[in-house]
Amino acid sequence: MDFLKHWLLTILIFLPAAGALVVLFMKTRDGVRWMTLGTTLLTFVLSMLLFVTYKWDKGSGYAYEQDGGVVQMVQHAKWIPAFNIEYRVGIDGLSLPLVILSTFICVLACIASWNIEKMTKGYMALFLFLETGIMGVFLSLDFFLFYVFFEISLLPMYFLIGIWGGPRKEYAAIKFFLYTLVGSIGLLIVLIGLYLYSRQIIPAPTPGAAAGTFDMVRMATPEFQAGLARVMPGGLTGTTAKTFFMLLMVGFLIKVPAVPFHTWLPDAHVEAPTPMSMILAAILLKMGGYGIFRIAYPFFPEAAKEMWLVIGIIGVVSIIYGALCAMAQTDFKKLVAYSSVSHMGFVTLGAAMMTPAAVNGALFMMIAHGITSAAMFFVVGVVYERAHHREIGRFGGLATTMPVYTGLSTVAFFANLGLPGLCGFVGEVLVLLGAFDAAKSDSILMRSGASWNSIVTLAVISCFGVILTAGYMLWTMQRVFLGPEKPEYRGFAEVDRREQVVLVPLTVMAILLGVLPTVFFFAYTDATVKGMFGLFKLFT
Amino acid sequence: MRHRRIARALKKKQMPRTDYLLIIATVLPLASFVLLVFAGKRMGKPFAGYVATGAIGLSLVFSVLALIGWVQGGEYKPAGRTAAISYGMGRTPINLPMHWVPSNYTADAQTKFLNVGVYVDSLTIVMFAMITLVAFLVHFFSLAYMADDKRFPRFFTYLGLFCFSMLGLVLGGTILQLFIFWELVGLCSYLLIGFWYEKKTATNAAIKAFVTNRVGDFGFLIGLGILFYHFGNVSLPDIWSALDISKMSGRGIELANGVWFGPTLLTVMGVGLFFGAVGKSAQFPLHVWLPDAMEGPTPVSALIHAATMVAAGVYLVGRIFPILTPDARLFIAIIGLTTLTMAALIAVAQSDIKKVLAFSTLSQLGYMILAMGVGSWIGGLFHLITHAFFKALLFLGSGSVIHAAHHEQEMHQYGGLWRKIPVTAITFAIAVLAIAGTPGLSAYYSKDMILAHAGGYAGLGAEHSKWYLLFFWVPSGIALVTAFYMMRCWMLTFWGKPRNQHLYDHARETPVLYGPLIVLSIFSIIGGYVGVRTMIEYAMGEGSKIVLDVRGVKEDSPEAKKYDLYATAWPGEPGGSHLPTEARAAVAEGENEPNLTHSQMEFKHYEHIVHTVVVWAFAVGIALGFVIYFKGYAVANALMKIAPLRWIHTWLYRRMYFDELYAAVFVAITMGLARLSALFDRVVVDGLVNFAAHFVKKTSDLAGLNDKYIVDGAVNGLASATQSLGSAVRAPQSGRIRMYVTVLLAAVVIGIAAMIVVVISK
Repeated sequence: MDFLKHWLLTILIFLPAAGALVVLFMKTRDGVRWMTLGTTLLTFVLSMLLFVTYKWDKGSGYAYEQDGGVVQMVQHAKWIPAFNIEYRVGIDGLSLPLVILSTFICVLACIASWNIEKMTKGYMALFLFLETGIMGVFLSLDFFLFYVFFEISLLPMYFLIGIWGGPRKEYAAIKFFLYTLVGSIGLLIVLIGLYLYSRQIIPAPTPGAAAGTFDMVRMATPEFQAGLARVMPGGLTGTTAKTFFMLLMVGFLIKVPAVPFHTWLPDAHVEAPTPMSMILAAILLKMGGYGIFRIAYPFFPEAAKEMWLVIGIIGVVSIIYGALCAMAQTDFKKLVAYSSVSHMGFVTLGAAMMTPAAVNGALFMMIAHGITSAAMFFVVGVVYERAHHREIGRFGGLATTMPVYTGLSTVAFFANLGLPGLCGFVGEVLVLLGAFDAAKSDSILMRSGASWNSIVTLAVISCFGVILTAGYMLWTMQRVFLGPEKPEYRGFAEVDRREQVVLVPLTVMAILLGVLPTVFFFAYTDATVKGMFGLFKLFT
Repeated sequence: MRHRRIARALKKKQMPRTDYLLIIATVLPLASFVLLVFAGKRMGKPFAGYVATGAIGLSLVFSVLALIGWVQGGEYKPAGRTAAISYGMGRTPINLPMHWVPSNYTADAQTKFLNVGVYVDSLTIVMFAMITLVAFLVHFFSLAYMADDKRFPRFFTYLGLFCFSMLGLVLGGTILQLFIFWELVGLCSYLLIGFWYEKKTATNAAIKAFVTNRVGDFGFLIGLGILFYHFGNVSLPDIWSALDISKMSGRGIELANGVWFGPTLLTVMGVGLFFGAVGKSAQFPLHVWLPDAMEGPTPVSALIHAATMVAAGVYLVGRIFPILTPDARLFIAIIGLTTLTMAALIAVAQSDIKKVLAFSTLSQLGYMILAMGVGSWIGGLFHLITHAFFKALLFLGSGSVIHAAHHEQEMHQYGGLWRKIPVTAITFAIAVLAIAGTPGLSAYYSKDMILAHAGGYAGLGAEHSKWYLLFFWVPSGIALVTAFYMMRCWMLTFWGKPRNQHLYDHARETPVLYGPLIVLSIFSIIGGYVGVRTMIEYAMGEGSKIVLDVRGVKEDSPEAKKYDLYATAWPGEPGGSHLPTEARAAVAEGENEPNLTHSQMEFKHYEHIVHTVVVWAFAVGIALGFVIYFKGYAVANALMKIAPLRWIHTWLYRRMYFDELYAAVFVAITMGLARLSALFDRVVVDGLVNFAAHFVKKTSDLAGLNDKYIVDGAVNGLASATQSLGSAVRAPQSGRIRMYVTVLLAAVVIGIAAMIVVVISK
């Protein structure tokens, strides 16, 4: 048990990479497949152990376990002592759901990849390598380590799109890579800048040792913040702080993606093979959201309060504009991609509003969207595999041809459009209610001088999204599934066992999360979110 | 002998707790739904139908048991309380909240939750009894009606989900839960309207229903948002008890939690929440979906689009009634008035039997909404119940006709059918008489009550402005129109000579179809007597009791008066009041009081007029209908020769062109915006991105910095990345990709190994 507590996170990060190494030496195609599945499954099972080892009811405040905080199972070691860069991993309520989601989706994506015939070995190795990158991002607590994982998770995806993608794969892959790289530059600047400031705040413990820190939990503590206020020109709300905050936000908003940084997403999704679309939408987008809540807001809460309007507008525009764009698409996959833009807008909006309901909603939205978008992209993949096209207008009558498939898809569609009882609703309604809550006289935003009118206007406009979402989702369902059966699709096979194995768990999770959100989600995140609101100075 | 033993056992041993009975009644249809989802197809016809019908039948039994238990009363001890609460009719309601999602943190960092839960008062009990009864009859009817359908099991699957959602809605103790089930019944409505999904009209109607309801939900969400941020809570007793008229000054109210609530915002909140009801109860201007919803199978129209779901809007307004400001109520009354007038007029010109009934439903819902607006809480909900019985009867009756007529719905093709389907004709006639307001039948009492209260409201408002008189005279006039168009419908269907001999010859009815009609016609007759009204009347008092309980006020203390739910909200603020306090009290009471003030005199005066008006409206309407349609279309066709009448008829027949208007304005604007956004996205946003990439690449080319191994500075880095990655992607063709992957992985593995060594050597 002690060994597990100490090593589990490290094992979770590097097990997939080890699996990739083994895969490279496998001889048969089936061997490669089963080895990959075994590795992802083992990672998933091990990640489930987190439910045993992570004490969700222990600790309060955003700090390490030994300081009475919520960040647990920390393992650290010196990596580059000259700059105090460490290998430091740990877990709290913010990362736990995303870790579980990632390992879960990776298993399903692996099953969805079963019919990849082109260079299976390379594909599977890159896929496992990608999982290592993902786990690293969600588990590292050292800013530098985070940055490294954030970057290296890009590479495998770049190759996976660029080699196994559709007709315009080169364009899409480069666009994806460069776009995210541009965002990372901002991240890098803040990484270096903050470190330089931290050297003025935290002196070297012993002569000869390095000063400063890259420890992400430490950088959010009130002591460090007080130090920053001292050494940064203009203090915590000065131009430097605001610039740093916005640089971080742009980096993460590109990943989310929020309008106007979103155009890489439709291209990447359309060209990516189905399993990679699932991973991209379900997990990689969440890295952006995770960065916002792990780094941007805890590091610069005061600047965030000043900049809330910009972030809020980006969120609302993403919601509405994404939904409108989705409505006009004729390509099934592109439609789902734009609907991702719209739904992730709720995450951005939730962050901007800085109320407990909104932030909880945003965090839930990330998981809910992970489930539904994976399901949606797989739904598209299933029909693409049979019809070899994705023109919404050319489909029709699939409800008669493939009833089971239609039933499962219907759940995914309705979960996506935010039907109560399914997971999409909980996040959406909490963000919306939280947005209104921000107009309360003692909310964080109102106390820092935000305008009541702006808050309420943004909240009301974002409510409009529910109409548009229902509109394009139902219209798509009508064109694809309903209507008389078309002769050219009559021969389509119903979803087979393998496809059901992918879709059914997603459906079940969509229902469970929608009906019992606290049991399956909020119980684990509550203490951490409360800790974050301590950083935002809600309880003063 | 056995009966007596059961009775004794019942008396000795108390009934199980009412809330448990109701929860079981709610879960049973869900169980049937789940079972049928997995095994429905295998069970097939008619076994799947039996399962669903059996489940809802059991629900009915449990609801009736709950009713008995409720009248008996009992005690329960909620968690965290020492004293037991006695529940039952006229006593405290059962209120069991349950944490659902975290909503906020208190100052000492405790988590506050948004709740879902169970709230049972007399109104809940009445609604349960009505819903399960109608639902059971509709299930039974459907066994025969849907017997030839190839998707028979699926139909009953959806019905199960609907019954669960509808019962859950009524059981809900928080506005959030109302909203959750609100959407779920909307989903069932969507699924069932589009049940014959091969038909484009059906799927269009389904989408229209869902999206129009979402427009209403848009308002609902805004209302919920304002409510949440002021009250910090959405459970019914907490909201009611947060209002305290003693804390009210001229410009607003201070809530129990110390939050200040301005009158404008409160009105916006009320109107917002009401907008949800506008969508669900198909009120003007969101009424357009309901007539189209008739694309669904007729039993669905009876259950969902007449008796239960569309009445949910009225139910919602009933639940938020105590927090509505006078301005919000005035708005509600105007919407109700507009809807009931418009719909009744359109109904006169319709030729499809189901469309007539659909517009009649709209109009009756308008009456209920009007009732809520004028403060007739009991009247509105009473009419909800009576309407459920006679409207379900009308729709099932029309179903029987349509079944007999081989799915012909145009009344032009009917005529003289009473000889072939007499039971349907008679039961339909009972329903027509009920809706028309025949003295002695159920709707007479409920409609009478609404009109009396509307009269009181109008009379008192008239001191303010003469326009208020419309609130009485228009609905009274429409009562006449109602009697007329319903009589027209009956005459054209059952009376006179057959207009389509072939159809007539083949028409016949079966007992499975007309059995439910007989049961419903009994309830349409006695619905006004059986204590429904008394129970509804009790519900508001029970609500007041739970408020006293929550606030810890003794029931007979002078302070208690402040928490009377009729009187809680707004005795009128300066410049914003539309109804004096005493008038509201009189409207709410509606009963004899010894010392009448001037305003109350006014109200009593209208109560007397009402009886006369209602009877005359009924008599004239029925008579007109009978005379004009005595010989089929003969008189009507003659009237159509007069040009202005013809124009009006066309205008009404085309439903006042609302559909065309909405299609031309809202749908076109949204689609235009969508296309514009997509174009903007492709050309401008993405164009900029591509241009930037192009620009950077060209710049770096010009500068001669195309050496891909040098990475210094962001711009150069970008350019070289473009190049190196470009060649990497081209690699598959040249077969170098395997090497790339290997190199990449090797690099990573070395890095990992280095890390592990570092970790271990710590």
